[in-house]
Amino acid sequence: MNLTDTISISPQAVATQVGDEAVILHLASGTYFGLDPVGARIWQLMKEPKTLAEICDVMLAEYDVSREDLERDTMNLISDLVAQKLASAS
Amino acid sequence: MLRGLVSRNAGSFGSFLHACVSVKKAKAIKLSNSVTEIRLHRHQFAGMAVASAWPLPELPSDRAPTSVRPTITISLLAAPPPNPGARDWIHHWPEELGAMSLGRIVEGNKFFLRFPGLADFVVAQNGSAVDVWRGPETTPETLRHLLLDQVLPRVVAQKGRLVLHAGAVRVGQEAIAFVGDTGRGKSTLTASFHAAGHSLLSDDGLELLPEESATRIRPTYPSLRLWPETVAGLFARQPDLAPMAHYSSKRRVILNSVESSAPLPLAALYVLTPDAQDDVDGISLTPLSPREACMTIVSNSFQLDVTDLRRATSLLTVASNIAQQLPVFSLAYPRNFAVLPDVRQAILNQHRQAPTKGSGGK
Repeated sequence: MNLTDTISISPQAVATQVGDEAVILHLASGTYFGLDPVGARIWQLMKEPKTLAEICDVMLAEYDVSREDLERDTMNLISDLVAQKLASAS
Repeated sequence: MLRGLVSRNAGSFGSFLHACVSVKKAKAIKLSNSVTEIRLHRHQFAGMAVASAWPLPELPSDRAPTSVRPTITISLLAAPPPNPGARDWIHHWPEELGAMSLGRIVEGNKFFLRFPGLADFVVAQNGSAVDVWRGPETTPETLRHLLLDQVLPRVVAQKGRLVLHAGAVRVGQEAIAFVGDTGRGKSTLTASFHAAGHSLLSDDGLELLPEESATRIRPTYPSLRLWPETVAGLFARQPDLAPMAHYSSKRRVILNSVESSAPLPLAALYVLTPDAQDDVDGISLTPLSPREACMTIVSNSFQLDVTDLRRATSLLTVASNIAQQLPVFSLAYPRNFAVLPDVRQAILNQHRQAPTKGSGGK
């Protein structure tokens, strides 16, 4: 995965906001996942397909974090989401 | 560092009702000797009128006039229903959740629930009718267990209700409920409260009724199913028992004085932790975040068509709203009967300290 990849939410994923966190259901497997406030914000940004770099640009403006840490952690989260078939990167 | 993804979480059976449509008087005289009128047995399940071809003694009677159309009609099939096509099986539940499979019957747009070697249930898309095929080895009580504890909760969910797999008892003018994976002691703790004098609401299914400031609950039906050693460990005097299913040594406790009341406000939901007995020293109650509470509610809800996007979205939305107002706690305690009085006391102390929002009228 790299910063120019476009990230999209899977049509098999259904999510709801719970306070500032989120719960996602993967329909095909019936498995539920939880996102903390940071993960929920990234999921919100993913609702319209964006590149990883575009997501990081928005997050960098909102969170007090270095670009290096942000890119690494966002990439890790999205890799988890892709591995769980909740999102795709192309 | 940023973190994102944080957790993953039947007696004898009557024959069928023959509908006798209006006939001319002369013909009716001939028909009168050949048509047997079979009375449908009317019961209540999750507040709905259920009409069954055979009596379901575990369910409260429905007192509505017989002219009122039942919400769910249950019939017996004389022959096995046609199987779904090989590609029409859509979900398989694991052994611990009942070892059943869901298929779709394209003709008539119906669902097909199979309990291998036991029974098949054909459910109308809108949940208004359930046709039952009883396997040759299946006893009447086994069939009723499958119908009441596995099929009907999912049929009610298919009608757009949120049915939680939970036990509940009454505390004052409110209810408290318990969820937990199979074998974690949900029924034992529910029965413990019942044995200590609290009214039993259900040991298995609750409909959640979210309102503006609180959530009310309506039991699917008053049940209590326990292992024989649990009965011996909880009750000073053994209650009357009946078999639950031919493949299990669990027993149904015959409940003689079960109240039927209006839906009660739910004060709190307790999630029995999966810790092994040796891992827990004392009793602990830990509040769950709204996200954890939402996941608890959704993952413990009965569903029929788990692939239905519209229903899944609706369930998540409703669970999210409930989770933001309902106190939900993780509950850990050593799994032995001696500690149960202390567990009850800890729960009651917590309940006294934090009254439910919107439980006015106390």
